[in-house]
Amino acid sequence: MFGLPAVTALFVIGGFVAAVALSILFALRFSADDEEWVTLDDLFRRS
Amino acid sequence: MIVSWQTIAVIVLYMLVVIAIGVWSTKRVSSMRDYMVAGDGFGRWVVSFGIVGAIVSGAGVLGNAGSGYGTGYALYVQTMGLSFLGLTLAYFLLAKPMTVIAKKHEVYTLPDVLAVRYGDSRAVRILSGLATALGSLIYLVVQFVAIGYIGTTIFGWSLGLSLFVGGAVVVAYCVGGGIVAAMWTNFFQLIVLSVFVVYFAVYTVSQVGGLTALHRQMAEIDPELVAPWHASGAFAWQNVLVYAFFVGLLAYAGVPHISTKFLTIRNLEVIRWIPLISCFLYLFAVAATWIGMAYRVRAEQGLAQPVAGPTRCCPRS
Repeated sequence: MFGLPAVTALFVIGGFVAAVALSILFALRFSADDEEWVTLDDLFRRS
Repeated sequence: MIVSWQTIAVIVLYMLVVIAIGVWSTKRVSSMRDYMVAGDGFGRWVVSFGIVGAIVSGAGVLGNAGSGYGTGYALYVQTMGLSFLGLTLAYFLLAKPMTVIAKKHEVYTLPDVLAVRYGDSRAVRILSGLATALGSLIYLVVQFVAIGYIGTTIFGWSLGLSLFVGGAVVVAYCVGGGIVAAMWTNFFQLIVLSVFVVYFAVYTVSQVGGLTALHRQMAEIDPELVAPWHASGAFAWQNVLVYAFFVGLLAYAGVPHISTKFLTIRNLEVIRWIPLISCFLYLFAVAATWIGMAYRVRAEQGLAQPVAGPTRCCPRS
């Protein structure tokens, strides 16, 4: 792609494309009001 | 070096703007919470610009242009090949828990967060404080190298004077406004850097006939310039891949200048789109690499003056 060897293109273009795809997936699946985060305090050791 | 009054005027104007942002920010700060974590926090755009602006800065522009000139793609693959994934990984892992902790507890720093998570012991405080100081120190060295380069190259100042003036400006806008000033100056700086880099990338790459022609000419000069790593030496495949994995992919989740900014997120909904926005903002680091590569091709063809070192390949005229 753009005259680059395949492995170089994989890192230069593939890394960006993969990150964008994951970010879109993250945005679509992201929940800002799920119940488990309401009780987050209980998950942490406090001493 | 003799510079034009226009150049000096632009740099002075730039410094005045960041100082003005610092002064403006001091009026928005009325408590420790405002100063350290921006009170109620920022929305998705300021957070994205603030984080990416903190990552790229001097190293992203001067460093990537120099790496393109000196090594072609090898140093880019080493430092940036997995960094888009690394940045999104940091968001996926840390943004939500740190936002929740910041809203539920009185936390201002990374050691505060770790004290909430692992217990407020002296060991946690000392280890996390040392790690934060060490991580920040290493990163700041690169930034002050860039500041020194600007002062010595453009104004002809000594390195000491360059660092003093540049450091004074940084202190002036940071001390009064805290994280509010830091985030908004990052916002402004990233816009300036993006415009500069995109303009010069389009200009220099078009001079060599476009991106495909650039890569073809680089391969004719030396096939290693378009290879992901070199046959031997510092950019052998082992070095490139180990660095890319541990620094490019994993380190973003651990560096303090990113993770502490998660404390300034206004609410959980802000997190949804900041990984995607940041990916696109980070793209201009690739464009900076192309500036160096295009200049290298022009220099090899005798159409541009070879530079004394890879850090001096940004065209000045």
